[in-house]
Amino acid sequence: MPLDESTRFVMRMFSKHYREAPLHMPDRFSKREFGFMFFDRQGMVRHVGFPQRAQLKNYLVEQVPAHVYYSCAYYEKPDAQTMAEKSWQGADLIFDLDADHVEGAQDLPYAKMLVRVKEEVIRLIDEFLLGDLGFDQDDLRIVFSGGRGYHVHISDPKVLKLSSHERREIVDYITGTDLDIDWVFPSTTFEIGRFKDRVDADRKRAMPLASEGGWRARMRKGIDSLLEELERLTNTEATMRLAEMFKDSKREIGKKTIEGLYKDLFGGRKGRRGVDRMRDENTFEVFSEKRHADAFMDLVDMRVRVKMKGETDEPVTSDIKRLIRLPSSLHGKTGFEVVPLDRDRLDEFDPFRDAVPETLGDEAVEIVLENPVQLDLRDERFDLGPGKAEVPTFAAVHLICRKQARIGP
Amino acid sequence: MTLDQLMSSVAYERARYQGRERVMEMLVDGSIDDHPMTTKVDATIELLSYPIARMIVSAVADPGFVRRYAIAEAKKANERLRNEDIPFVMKVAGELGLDVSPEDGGFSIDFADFLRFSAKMRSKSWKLVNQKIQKGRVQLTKYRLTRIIESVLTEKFSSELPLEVNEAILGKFAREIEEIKAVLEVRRKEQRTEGMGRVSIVRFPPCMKKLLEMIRAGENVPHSGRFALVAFLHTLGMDSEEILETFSTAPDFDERKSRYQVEHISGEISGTEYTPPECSTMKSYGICFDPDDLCQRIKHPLSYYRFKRRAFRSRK
Repeated sequence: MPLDESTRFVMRMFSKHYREAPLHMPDRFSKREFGFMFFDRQGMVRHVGFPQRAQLKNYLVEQVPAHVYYSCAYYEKPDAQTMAEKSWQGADLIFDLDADHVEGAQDLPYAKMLVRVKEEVIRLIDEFLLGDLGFDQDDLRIVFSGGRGYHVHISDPKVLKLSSHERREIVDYITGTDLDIDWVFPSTTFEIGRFKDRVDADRKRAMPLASEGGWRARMRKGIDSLLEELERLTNTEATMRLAEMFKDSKREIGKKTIEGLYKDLFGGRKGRRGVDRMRDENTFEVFSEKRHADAFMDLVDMRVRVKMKGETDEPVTSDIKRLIRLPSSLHGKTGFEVVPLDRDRLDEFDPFRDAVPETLGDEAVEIVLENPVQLDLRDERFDLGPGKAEVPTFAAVHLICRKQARIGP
Repeated sequence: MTLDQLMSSVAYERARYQGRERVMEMLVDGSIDDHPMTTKVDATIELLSYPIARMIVSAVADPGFVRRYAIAEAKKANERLRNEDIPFVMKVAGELGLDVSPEDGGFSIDFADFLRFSAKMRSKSWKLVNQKIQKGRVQLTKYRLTRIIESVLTEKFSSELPLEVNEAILGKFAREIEEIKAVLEVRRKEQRTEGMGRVSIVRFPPCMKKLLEMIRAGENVPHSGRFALVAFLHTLGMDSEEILETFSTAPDFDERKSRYQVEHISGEISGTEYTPPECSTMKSYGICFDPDDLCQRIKHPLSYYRFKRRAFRSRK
């Protein structure tokens, strides 16, 4: 296949990057499997192992892959062709979050999409990984994927041997999947009356406590903020807001129920209202009718649980043999560097400034654009019309990789 | 006391008897009974019956039997441990390598240990999402902690057995060993003829029915779907030829390619026999179709099939 001018240019630049940039080495380097995809051939080359760093570097400089992956697993023989011969020894725990898994992110323009995804990554890390699961910052490696999201690698020894099933439990934890609402609101049974030898009993549900940890604490926080939101509104505003929230409810929630529910929570003298008892006495039993209580429970399940859950791509985490992008390699569809980060750097990280490879330089290159493009790259604004344009190399590589520009006629 | 004495001295005849009993009870009931230990002698005999039982199980050297024995011993240990006081339970947990801390009203363990030793517990209440968890520590009641310890013990016993046994042991328990082997053989035969029987599509879970329909209709089925279906059919006992025949009605049937895939999954090429993914994996790959009421109660497509088969039999 004869290569076009654009591809040859990008490959030359990628090769330069691999020659000049320091290469990030995963731990247990020689036990990892590597995989590559190329600009100039179809398919994926995998089952490759590199005993030493220099060999990988040579490979990258000479073969110039478009995408570089390594296995989250480490093996006795990483270059064996079958999994049985490879002999699995353990695997980092990986979380992958990209635009496809963040609600509303897919439809945003690329730069905004990455901002939105970063917010979710920060929540995943702070709330779940460092928070609930108690991982140490030092065991966490955060990586900008070079494409549409971020990865988190965890190499704490205690997770390396976890099975796929056990890893899926962690995903279910983060996404609140199979959360048992009856467990969240612990109930006690009490007697309401006796007739001859029959005892009538009912259950009293309590509110989960913020001090209990895990999803009980998380749900309590979510409920508290929902109540605060409603409390700030006037009666009419609040019932309208509630009606809106109930729109996706599985059952029909009528106007009367909504008004009843609102009155149960916010009616009466301040300090004695249902919402006050919920907060102060930690009881769920503040509703005058069962259908009000059921409707509130619907809100808890639909709104609160969904709002409090974290996001991550399940198949990636539960796959104990996954290939994942190598930090400090380049992403063939953006020309961005796959940047290793730590938690402190993540807040300020902007891919359009910080993932543009240093190695590419700013020598002027002539490119041709089909459509107008506006782009901020390395703190420089590019406002390019259709037709010919002269841009620095780093911008040319990005635009060509994203198929927004080409070199030559 | 030496091994020789334990094996042959008249003084330990009761211990040997009790050891045999321990194994036989397990073989018949699947559990080890409680023996009253009113005196010190009773207790010593009970204690000594344990290594005897392990020797017999080791001599039988049947992996399934070893596993069942390990489960029974661990369960027995749990029943006893449950009645012990907190410091004792903590000590046992510590000796087994579990990092347990006292927590008000209970205990806490690291979530990774929790995951590892609760993996077999499939009830919703054991899911990580339904645990009180803070800074990586899962809080447990004493009841739950001893259940976790039971899992640790099951793994430990399974990994220790079978022990190496010498001629003297084989000779001494020859009769028991033969008897157990005979019982296991009979059971195995029963199971085999019971098997999965002729594969019946009527009992397939909705996901597998749908995948089969799609493949037969020549629709585009993702790799994960093909894999799940082939592994499912293979586990039900169909051989590669039968599986290929099932697919052959597809308009785009490519025998050479299909044969490679089927033989790969059934272990004829790769040496790894794959089993179909569990329901949660099917869901995450988007190949769980039209789940019905029975699906709510199972975690694995194979359980669906087994369940239907049993339901079908009991109706006969």
